[in-house]
Parts: sequence; structure tokens; C-alpha cells
Amino acid sequence: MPTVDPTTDQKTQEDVDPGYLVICWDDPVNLMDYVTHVFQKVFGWERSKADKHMLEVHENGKSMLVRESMEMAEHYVHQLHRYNLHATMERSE
Amino acid sequence: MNVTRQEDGQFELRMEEEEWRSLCHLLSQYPLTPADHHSLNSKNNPDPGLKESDQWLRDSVSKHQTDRELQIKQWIQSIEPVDNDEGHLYPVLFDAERADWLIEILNDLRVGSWMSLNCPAPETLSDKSPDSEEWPRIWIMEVSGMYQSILLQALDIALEVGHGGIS
Repeated sequence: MPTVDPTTDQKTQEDVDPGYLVICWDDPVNLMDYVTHVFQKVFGWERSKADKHMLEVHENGKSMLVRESMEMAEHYVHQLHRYNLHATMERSE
Repeated sequence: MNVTRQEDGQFELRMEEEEWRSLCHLLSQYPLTPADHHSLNSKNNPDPGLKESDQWLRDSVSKHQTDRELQIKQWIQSIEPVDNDEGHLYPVLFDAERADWLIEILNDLRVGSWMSLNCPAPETLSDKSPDSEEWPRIWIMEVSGMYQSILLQALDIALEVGHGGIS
């Protein structure tokens, strides 16, 4: 029976299932303070973290918000869409 | 229109009759953002496995809008005017939760009216000569944004003084 070396075979959950990225995209109509407010509400973030991601969206056109399981990523995307933010999810590489 | 903070941490938006009617008219336009516009799939890198999820999202947003529509009607009916020497005043009380509710509704109106104008860059709106169909949409977009700013500012103040912060 083959033996398994625990030091080389231990894979993290991330290696097995990298999950989904939740991405928020820029649009010119949502107020900046509104986007910060929504990030705080949906993710429970502190103002400073929510501001950082809002500025990323504004300056870079998008921000990767979280990496989650498919179920949780869908949950967050639904929440963001209820607030009318343009959010998508894609499989993490 | 005047916003004041109450001792219990709530805010009061005290509106003249005309302002209240204007807000009611604005809210009666809800929803303006079409539910089928929502997609959780990236346009650049679509995942065929998420096609069903897209339909689920649209159904969920549509149900959410129907619920909100009913809540708006109930909320408007719940606001009682008070009389003063100059006529009716409408005291609109709100806490953080109610402010969040209203901000989200106003955003639907702002985004939906913007979409109906073919998604212009907001800074180009002042250069436009709007026609009679565009004027009401621009009004909805701008007034929704104004109310959003007032409510977001009130929430910021609530957080600073430790009342009714974002939960």
C-alpha cells in the first residue's frame, strides 16, 4: 500500500477549490459615497476598507471584492445587484 | 427642507407640502431599472455554468422590486402632515435602516433614469439641450442623487456621534 507524505500531499481548501471572485465594475452614475455605503452594508467592512475598494472601482474600472465559494459569491452578487451595483462573479484561476 | 437629529438618534427630514409631493412623485416612479438588465456573468469572460444563475438573479431582483414597490406605498401613507401657520409640514423620521432602504430605492431611480437617457457621462448632461422626453428623466436622476447625498450625509453624522450606525 503506498504511503502518503503529509508534507507534500496536504492541499489547502484553496488549492482544491479556488472558488469564485466577486468583482464590482465602475459606472459613471453611482455616487462614490453610495458605493462605499453599499460595501459596508453588504460585507460589514470598516469605512476605510470600503473606501479603498470604492476608489479602486473608480480609478481602475473594477475591484475584486472577495473570493468565496460559488454559493457565497452568488449571495454577495445578489446583494450588490439589489443595490444596483454592477457586480459579476468568475471562477478564480 | 431641513434635516435635524433627534435625541433618540433618529433624523427628521422636515418637508414643505410641495417638497413632500415632489418626493412622493419621485418614489411613485419606482422601479425604473429593468430587472433583465442584471447579470452576474462577466461580459468579457462569460461562464456558461452561470446561465441559470443569471435567470435566478433576475427573478430575485424582480421580486425585490415588487416588495419595495408595496413598501413605498405603505410608507408614504404612514407619513402624517402636521399643521403650522403656513400650511402642512411633513416630518419624515428615519433611522439608519430606513435611510438605507430609501437610499437603495433612490438609486434604482437614479440608475434607471440614467439608463433611459442612454447612459451619458453625468458631466455631459449640462452640455445637452434636453427635449421634452429627456427633461423628466434628468430631473429624476438629479433629484434622486440629491436625496441620496442628504441621507448618506445624515448616516455619516449618525456614525460620528455613535447613533444608529450602519448595522
